[in-house]
Amino acid sequence: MIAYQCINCGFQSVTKKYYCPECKGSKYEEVNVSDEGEVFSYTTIHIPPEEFTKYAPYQVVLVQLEDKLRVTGFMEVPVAIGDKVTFKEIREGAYVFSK
Amino acid sequence: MNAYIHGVGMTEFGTLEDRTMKDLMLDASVEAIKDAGDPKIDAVFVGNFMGGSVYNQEILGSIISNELGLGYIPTSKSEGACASGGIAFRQGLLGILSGEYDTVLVTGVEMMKHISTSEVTSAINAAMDNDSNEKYAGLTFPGFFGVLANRYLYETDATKEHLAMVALKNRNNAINNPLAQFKKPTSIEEIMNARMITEPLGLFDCSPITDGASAVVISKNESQIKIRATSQASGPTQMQNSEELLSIPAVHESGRLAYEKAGLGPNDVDVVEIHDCFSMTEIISSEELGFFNKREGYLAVENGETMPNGSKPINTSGGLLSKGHPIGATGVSQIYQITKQLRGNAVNQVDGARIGLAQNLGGTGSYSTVHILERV
Ligand SMILES: [Zn+2]
Repeated sequence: MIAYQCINCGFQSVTKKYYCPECKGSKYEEVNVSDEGEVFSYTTIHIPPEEFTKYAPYQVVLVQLEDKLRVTGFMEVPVAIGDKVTFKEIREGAYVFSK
Repeated sequence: MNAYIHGVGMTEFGTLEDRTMKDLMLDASVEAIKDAGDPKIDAVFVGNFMGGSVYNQEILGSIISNELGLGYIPTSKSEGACASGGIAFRQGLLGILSGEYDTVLVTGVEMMKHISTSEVTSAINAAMDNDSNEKYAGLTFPGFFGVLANRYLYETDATKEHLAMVALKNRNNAINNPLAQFKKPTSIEEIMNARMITEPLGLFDCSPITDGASAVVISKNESQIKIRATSQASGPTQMQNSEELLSIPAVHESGRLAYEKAGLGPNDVDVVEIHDCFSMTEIISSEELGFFNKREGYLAVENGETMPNGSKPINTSGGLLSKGHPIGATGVSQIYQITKQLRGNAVNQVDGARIGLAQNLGGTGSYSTVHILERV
């Protein structure tokens, strides 16, 4: 998975930021981070937004990657906190994970 | 300079099919102005979230000033998602504290029941950062609090039944509130067995879709209700950016600032309205405001401490969960309830209440306002 890292202090983020929240630096570089992580928390969504009706019920997971980062992702299969998961792909803007 | 509450007004909350947004906000406004003894109003501040997107109606402040014959006075609207009402109240207050106005009217209003649930869901999703991978993952507004709740249940000994206890307490409070949306008795069993919205949150754990309005008149002239502090803070707009998932930094920071300004602490507060958009939110915010230790808010619920006769009564109005949640009106209606409590004529009156606190949340923790009122 690609993340953005502050050139000045090493702060990482899955999304591009204008300013680093740690050091106020404004230069970022793309770095490779681990695709492996575990489920920090999740929810199963039964009442979805219109465009997600075809997936419901589905899981939105907050994954703690092996690196420091946390990323919000999508999973079709049921999960529990602590499950090991792997990043598969970015599909229509969503970080898709699998068990 | 100091500011005081002179009048409050509130319409019924619920499904008000035969009413319009205009007549709801005018009703609440007139009630507040009359309650204040018909003072000259110098400015109007409106709290509203989706009047433009789902009701095709803006210029709300100007409509109020014209319909009520207040003259060519300045008016404006505040938007801060579900904190729109709290922010409008704060803006009106700052207008007085700055010396610009002597007396202002603050009115919160929302119409939501005329459209379908999925239209409401997508309108409310405007309160999330939609240019983000979280939106594309299918995260919804209740979904965020579902993720929070699963982690809370994992890290503490709390169970889904503790969430149900919050919903039941607020329903029991609403039963005594003639203006509340839900006045039908329920039970822990019914709440626990209700259909799931976003696990572990079921139907009763989520605030409803509501029409309604509420209004307050504030003045620099003295009254028996003094505003001791106003504060506002922001927080993360994305779940993956929160440093500690089981915290709502905006609530904590707005609480800290308000206590500091008032020279008071959580122990001084006699009665509280907390923004319980979800049962989980009431527990976490009760911790963030310092009423209970971190990760122990659920124990206070279990022990009945947050009931009207408990040591820290929370949401004596019925809260968003059962009083209802007409988004822009919610923050103003919290001030309505706290004012009634301090006047001694509230539903679920807390004996001898002297200090009251109202906390209004916007988005998934994007905004929070705190106001502390005192009977003087
Ligand atoms: Zn940096």
